[in-house]
Amino acid sequence: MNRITTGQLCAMGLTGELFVLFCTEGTVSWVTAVGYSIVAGILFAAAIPLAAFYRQGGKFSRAVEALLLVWLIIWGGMLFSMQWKTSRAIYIPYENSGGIAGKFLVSGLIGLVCLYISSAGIKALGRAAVIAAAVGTVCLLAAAAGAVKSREWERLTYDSGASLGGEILRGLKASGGIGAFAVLLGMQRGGYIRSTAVYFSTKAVLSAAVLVSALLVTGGIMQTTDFPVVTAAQLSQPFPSQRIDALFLIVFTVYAVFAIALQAAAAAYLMQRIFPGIRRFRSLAAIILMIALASVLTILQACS
Amino acid sequence: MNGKLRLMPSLEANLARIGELTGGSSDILINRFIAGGISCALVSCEGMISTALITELVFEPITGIEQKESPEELFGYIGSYLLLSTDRPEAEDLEAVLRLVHSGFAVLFAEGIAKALGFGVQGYASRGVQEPSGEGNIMGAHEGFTETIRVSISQIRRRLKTPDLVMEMMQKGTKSSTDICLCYMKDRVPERLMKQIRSSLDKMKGESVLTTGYLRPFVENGRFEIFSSTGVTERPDVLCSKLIEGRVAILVDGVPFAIVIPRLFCESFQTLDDYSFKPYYATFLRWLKYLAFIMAVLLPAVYAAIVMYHPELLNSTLFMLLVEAEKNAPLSIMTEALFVLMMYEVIREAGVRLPKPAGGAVSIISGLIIGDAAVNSGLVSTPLLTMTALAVLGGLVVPELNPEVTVLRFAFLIAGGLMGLFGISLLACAVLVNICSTEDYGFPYTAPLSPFRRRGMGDTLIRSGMRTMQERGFTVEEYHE
Repeated sequence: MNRITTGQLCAMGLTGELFVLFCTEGTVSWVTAVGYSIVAGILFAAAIPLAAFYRQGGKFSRAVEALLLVWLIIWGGMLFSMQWKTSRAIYIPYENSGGIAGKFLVSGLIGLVCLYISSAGIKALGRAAVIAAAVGTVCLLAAAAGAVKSREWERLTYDSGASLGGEILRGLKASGGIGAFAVLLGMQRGGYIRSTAVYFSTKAVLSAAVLVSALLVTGGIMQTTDFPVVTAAQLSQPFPSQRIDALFLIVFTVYAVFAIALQAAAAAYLMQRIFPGIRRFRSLAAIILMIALASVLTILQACS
Repeated sequence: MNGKLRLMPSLEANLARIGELTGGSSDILINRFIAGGISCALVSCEGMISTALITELVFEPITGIEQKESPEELFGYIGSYLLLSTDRPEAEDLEAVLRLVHSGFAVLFAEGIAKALGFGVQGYASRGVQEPSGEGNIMGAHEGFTETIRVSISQIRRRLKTPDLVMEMMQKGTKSSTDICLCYMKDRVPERLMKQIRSSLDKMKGESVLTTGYLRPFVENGRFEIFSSTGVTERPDVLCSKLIEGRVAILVDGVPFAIVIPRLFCESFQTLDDYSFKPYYATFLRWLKYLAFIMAVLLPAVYAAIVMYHPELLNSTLFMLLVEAEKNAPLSIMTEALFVLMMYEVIREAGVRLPKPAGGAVSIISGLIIGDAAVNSGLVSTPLLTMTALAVLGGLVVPELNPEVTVLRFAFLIAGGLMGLFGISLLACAVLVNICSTEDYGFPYTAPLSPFRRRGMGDTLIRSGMRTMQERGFTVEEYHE
């Protein structure tokens, strides 16, 4: 049985949450930041019974596990789709020059690495996520330092016209990572409620910090930008004659990989529980299903 | 005794069977003589025994024994009164006899008794204790293990004069019957770890054990791991420090290296010198080694990625300098870097395998002629040569990880050259997870970084003062998951 620590749980889950924030589309305002923080609070409240359930030694029934598996596959597919869409705003060699083939190559490579990572198991993923999160944080801090020059405090008052209720709904839509959290929490060595509190409070702080930083930098051009967080990173340059966009590319790639791999690893774990007979190719099956779903989503979005 | 060829009371029959089993091998010496009025024979292996010892300690006293009534009385007298050597094993089957003979024992047979007596009179030629060639040290001892397992054991025992230090001898290899010594501190090592290692060794089926590499795969888990979760050392002082930390060592006869189980990633950056210097300097050295490792793996790849795909990361002066240097190079930067790295690996391999005098000539040819000519001809640019040289030098700072660093350097270069920092990031994720999944006997290779152990940081991120470290009484069990 894989056993993970609170740090590993947070690192795995929050890299995924951050990746979703990077992929945020449309306008953001202070209402968005408040809405996302409220969502973290709502999810915390919803997760408390789950933590109590685990504390009492509870285990999910096969039906619940099957539902969670479907959830993980859908969210994994959506993450793939987000990566596909957002990467058009980020310079990835071969993707930009390679057209649709380049895009497939990039997504295929990400899928391949996710397959390898998820097949290594949740324990290894948790350990690696801690280190990846630390490296990513350093890169993000460098980007944040660059944002100091380009931020304007009056942009905080930018009004996108969105209501708090609408932003809460938007925040809920971006919280598909809760499925993986529900699975991972059961792998904890105890301290379920503490871990839940740490996870959701960090999620609230991170969401608010990222969205407010993006607002401070891109508030002036919010109407014209597709991906405000990506644009904020591109506008945050600490040096006059050097650009550090590539640092964001590293963070984006690493977090995308860990976000998708987490869904695949958790899905593979549930498959093992639901179908004990299947011993091999569980991760592969999960990744293939996610890619298939992502393809359908992308085609549907392109058609609409 | 099932399946074993028991000795017989007839001396001639025993000697005939030895001759038969050894195929009449010319290095098996059989000396016949009369002792105590009973026909005897001393069987030994030429080159494995000391002639002076055998004459002085065995032949002279044994041939002067007075008349004995039976061979049992003769063996009893030799065993209880003569005490011909400190190591006097008895053998009752031919397999044991031959093992003793091939290990440098002289084995005594007598007419009328189905038993043989062995005398430890080993005297084979062996290399003396010398300075280790691969683990340089400034302030510590300058002696390394030798090929003779008994000498290596004595080197450890001299440093750890405690009854808690246990040496378990066993033999491995159906053909080589190599002596192997399992070495541990019984008060420090986790019982579970010992049990698992013994079980791994029991499962080992091989004909010979000629280097540590023959054993390591059997005590590591079978998954694909880039980094090895068992370590080797040729320094007795380093091994003693590992034993005190509750690790297990395996010494192999004929190999001047000991296998250490488990090994952690951070240990590759620790040397005994770190504990001889002041903590601030030791901490500086440690970070220097971390930096050197990262440089060794990533520098050529990052250079190729930045120059080919992300030049905006460079400031204008540096950018212009690199453009100027690279504009005349006929090959792409990745090809250039691959060419230079491959050239280095060929030169290194030639330097290692060639006889020492020719090795010097290789260095001159490679360094002065090929290197200089490559730059002057414009085949390779100077900045790229500088980067690859720095990467190679960085790898030499952590020699223990050199095989892994070499392969990773090529892999990252190809990833960076083909897909820029995106490719490097993807490969880094895969490598990171591979390292984090490396685990043997429940000890994660990446501990104490991940899983994080705050107490372990005192000898990982920094090097704490010796008082703090001694008071802490660290054992590797702290990292067990």
